[in-house]
Amino acid sequence: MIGRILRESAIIAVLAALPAGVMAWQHLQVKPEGPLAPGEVRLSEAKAWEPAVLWVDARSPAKHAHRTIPGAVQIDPENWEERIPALLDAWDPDKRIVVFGDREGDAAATVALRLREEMQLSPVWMLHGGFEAWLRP
Amino acid sequence: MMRRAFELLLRLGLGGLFAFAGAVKVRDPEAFFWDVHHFDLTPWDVSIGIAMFLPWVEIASGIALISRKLYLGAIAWCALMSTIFLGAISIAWARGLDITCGCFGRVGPENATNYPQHLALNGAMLGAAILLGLLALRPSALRIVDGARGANERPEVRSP
Repeated sequence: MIGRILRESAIIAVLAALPAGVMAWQHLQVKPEGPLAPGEVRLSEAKAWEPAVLWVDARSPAKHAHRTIPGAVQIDPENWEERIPALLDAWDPDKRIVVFGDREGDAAATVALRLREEMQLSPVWMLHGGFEAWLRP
Repeated sequence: MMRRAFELLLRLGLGGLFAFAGAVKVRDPEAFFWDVHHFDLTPWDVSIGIAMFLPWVEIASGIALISRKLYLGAIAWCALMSTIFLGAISIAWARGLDITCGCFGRVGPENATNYPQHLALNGAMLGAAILLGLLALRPSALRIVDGARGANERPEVRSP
């Protein structure tokens, strides 16, 4: 009985491996990087600005607490009033602000817009690819 | 009759659920890769392997369950995957991760995982797989019981 279970499980694994291999071949080829949206900066360029960069984490506080870019200040539209003093403490006019979210999404764009328009901070950039760009090896 | 209807319902339900879950992940493997990687349990390359392979195992197991081909293997895969999902979701919950589990791809709103709901669903899936396994193995189990009874019981002696 165990032999039959193992044999059938192995057949299912092989059947799954065939399309998985095709999908991996299609998706794992090196693709050219997508174009930058207005106000976006690539990670390599933002890293070259260091240490004159203030990283702003627009993801949730839980995600920020778990893992983030070293030195990043967390602020999102939900806790804007509460977190703005900490951000202003960390801000320096000589630093460029780079806001990042998960990968794509409105939180980083909203934070970047509010920093520019409400707080009159400049320059404010958005990280192309978000925090996931930082995670890529 | 009742047992057959119950088994059919369980088989179609579990098989359909796995096939659906695999199909929605296959539509966007990159998003599923990030969902896997955000669990923070596997290195980059392993997360890629899981994102490519797991959806197809779900589809293959689901179809096998529905069609009742490679049946025991499909039940074993469903039980194994449900156990792994339960473990991964429990660990993520214990660590307080604010993530989407990716269980059904990006169907529905992309909110953080509702851990109790997902644990209950995966627990039910594991329970269904175990039940299907027991129902599939029941004939041999009955033979064992019959054999034991035959060895221990005295033949009934009827008086003339």
